[in-house]
Amino acid sequence: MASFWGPHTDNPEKTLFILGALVTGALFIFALTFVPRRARKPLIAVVTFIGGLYFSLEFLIAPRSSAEPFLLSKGAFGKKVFELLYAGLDPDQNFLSPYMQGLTNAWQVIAGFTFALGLTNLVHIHGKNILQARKNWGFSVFFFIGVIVMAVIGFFQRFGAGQKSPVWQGLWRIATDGWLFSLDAAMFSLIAFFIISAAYRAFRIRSVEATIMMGAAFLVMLGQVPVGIWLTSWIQPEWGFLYNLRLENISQWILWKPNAAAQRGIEFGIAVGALAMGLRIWLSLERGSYFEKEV
Amino acid sequence: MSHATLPVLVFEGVIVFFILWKILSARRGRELYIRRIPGLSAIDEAVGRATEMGRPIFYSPGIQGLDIVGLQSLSILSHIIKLAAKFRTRVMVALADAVLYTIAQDVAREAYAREGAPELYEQDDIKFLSDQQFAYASASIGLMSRERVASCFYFGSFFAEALILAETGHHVGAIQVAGTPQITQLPFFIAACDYCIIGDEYYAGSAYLSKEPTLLGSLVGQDLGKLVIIAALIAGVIGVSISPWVPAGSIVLEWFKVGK
Amino acid sequence: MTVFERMQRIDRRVMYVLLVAVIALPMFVPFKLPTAITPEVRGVYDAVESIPKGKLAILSGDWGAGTLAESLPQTEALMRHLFRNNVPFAILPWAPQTTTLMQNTAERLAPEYGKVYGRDWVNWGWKAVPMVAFLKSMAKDIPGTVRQDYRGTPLSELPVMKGVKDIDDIGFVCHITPVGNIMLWVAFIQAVYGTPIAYAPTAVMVAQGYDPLDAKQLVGMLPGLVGGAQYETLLNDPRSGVRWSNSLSLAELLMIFLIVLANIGYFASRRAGGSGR
Repeated sequence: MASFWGPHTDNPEKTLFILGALVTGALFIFALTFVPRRARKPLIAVVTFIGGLYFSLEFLIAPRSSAEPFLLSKGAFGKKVFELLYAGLDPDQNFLSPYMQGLTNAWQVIAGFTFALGLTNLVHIHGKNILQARKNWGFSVFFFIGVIVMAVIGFFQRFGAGQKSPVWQGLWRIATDGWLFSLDAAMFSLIAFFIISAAYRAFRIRSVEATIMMGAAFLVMLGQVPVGIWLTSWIQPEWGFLYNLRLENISQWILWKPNAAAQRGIEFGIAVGALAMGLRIWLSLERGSYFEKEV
Repeated sequence: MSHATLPVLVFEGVIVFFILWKILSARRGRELYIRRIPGLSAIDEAVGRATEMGRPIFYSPGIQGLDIVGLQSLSILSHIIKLAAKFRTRVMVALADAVLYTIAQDVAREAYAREGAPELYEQDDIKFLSDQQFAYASASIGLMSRERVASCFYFGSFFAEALILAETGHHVGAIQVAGTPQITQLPFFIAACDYCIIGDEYYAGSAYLSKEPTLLGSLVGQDLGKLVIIAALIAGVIGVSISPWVPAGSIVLEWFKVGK
Repeated sequence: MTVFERMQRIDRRVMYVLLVAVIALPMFVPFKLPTAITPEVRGVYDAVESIPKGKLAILSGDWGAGTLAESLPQTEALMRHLFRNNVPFAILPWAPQTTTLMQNTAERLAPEYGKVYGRDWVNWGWKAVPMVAFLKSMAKDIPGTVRQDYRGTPLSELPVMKGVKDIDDIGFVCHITPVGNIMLWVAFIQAVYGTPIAYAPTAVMVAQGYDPLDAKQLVGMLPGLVGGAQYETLLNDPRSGVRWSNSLSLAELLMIFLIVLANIGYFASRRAGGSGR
């Protein structure tokens, strides 16, 4: 049965280690707040560069499976390099790969710390709304009720005796199936209403392009649903080329050919754009936003 | 694919080379031209409209966390805040990721400070709403409706919440500008927003808005990179077409092959 | 305001009421419409049919209650097919909500086919790790990466996991999701190990799927609710997907009707010398 301390109850050393890491992490973050403002940007630039360098090299350097045959064919020197860099690694690892998991975990921990900041912001805003009785402060009361009720029920249904208590389990079902899931579904269903009003407003045959777009939209829409399929179901497969004119076949052609081609074109552009943006951030060249001038 | 294959290494190397080369030549003072992108030009109009109406601006960087898309979004946010600060117009930023939230706070504080108006920075205007997709959408549309925002900006990764936000923005009468690399959401933004930027125009944002030579150079490098991809596509098409008869075609295809 | 102008300015509340009416109608007045089977749906069906004996299937999902109307019929149809063909499968949820929703679905269907948890299917449970790290690690060592099921039972104690070591023991994967992360499965699993991957997105994400489909990186796709309905038809077992897609049909007809109406109004006002909106 899970306890609050999870699987580590039988391993006090591990628990102490976790607590120690937590305190050290908090102290480290606290210490960072004392870094002078002038030194912050160079510090960020250096950390970003080292991080970017690690991840790009880890991706670019050949893994053992590719490097092994090459290095071992290069005589004694190649063998030495292989033993130095690749010995004991998995076939798809290079000498930087073993640190990947640790770094990913570290990133998760840092992200975990920032979640507390997000929650603090919510509490700060809604707390102020209530204390200063601002307009619509009632909504903020609901925020606190929501957070506290979900947290309490979530905690007790998960740990200790609550795991087998029908009361806590029942409350959890009400909180999730009854409230959370229903609210989620209600929000998603708004899209149906909004797409009707948006499409009604936007689709006007004002130009040749708009006409083509609307025509394609109609064909795809009809070709995807049973009623559209029914409309041209009188066209028989034996009719040869004419069979292509069934709505579902026209719709399929639009989706598989022009749509896929356009998507690919845009995706290539996006990928190159993302690469350029990544380079600029890595080398701290993204001026005018994060860096007033280069560091 | 866990590690770069030879073709990936070669293509990425060539594209990176072009981008860095063009950045360096732009910094040496070479004049570069960038075409007009209506969606990005409309940012000024939208900020002006909020100023005229005396109502706030709403900004959403989408629901994904800290990645390249999010960072580009914050770069555009910085520009919008600087513009708004000149006219003392309020900008409300709704965030769905705690990491991005902390960076957005810094970006906003700095943008106001750079415009000589640090007192305009309001911590409460940079809001972390929820990391749950529809809770975020619900909180955002509530905010837009209550504050009767005059302009809405959506720059980042959006999914099903895109239309919920954009249509609400339309209902409250806001002028709306959107940009996302999420291709599937573009039709919704096009239908509901006044201006929309498409595909890699999204990544041209900071260059277009700041006209910084470094960023403009990077854009030209990107275009050369796209030419490299087009060349690879043509090679692939020729390879596939001639492979049944000419062995060279199969060699080209084999070279591009990844994994099993 | 002239009639033509009115046609262009229908109050959105009127449209919303009409929409509710056409969506609700098929729930009270059932009717049957033909379903065509598209090649992408047929691709998923054929891939499930050709899973080699002794291999495990993975139903990966990160959908929630919000997209239940689309993702549930897809999940249910796939589970029915796997149960019917006696293919053992693992549920791989990417969100806490999905763990419960997919498990509940499997538990509801299992008695119909005489299937038992742990013997015929397993729920690996949601793990708070990034998707890329999980996929890369899982491909090499499934028991070492997953460790325990959603209840905390070690995988080694579950008969369904017997002999399942790495990705070579997986015969089929379907990623059921409203989020655009299918390319992670393609990049880290299909491209490297050649595992057949299928995609079951919500309708708004469908357009994204045709690119990897055309490139044969995906074996097939279930496009939204319609995909679920087609799959049910292929199984010869029409259920919620087929029923609900009638509502979808009427809703799309309404949308087309309203757009045509607005355009008639637009043209007529322009011809009459007024300004179309």
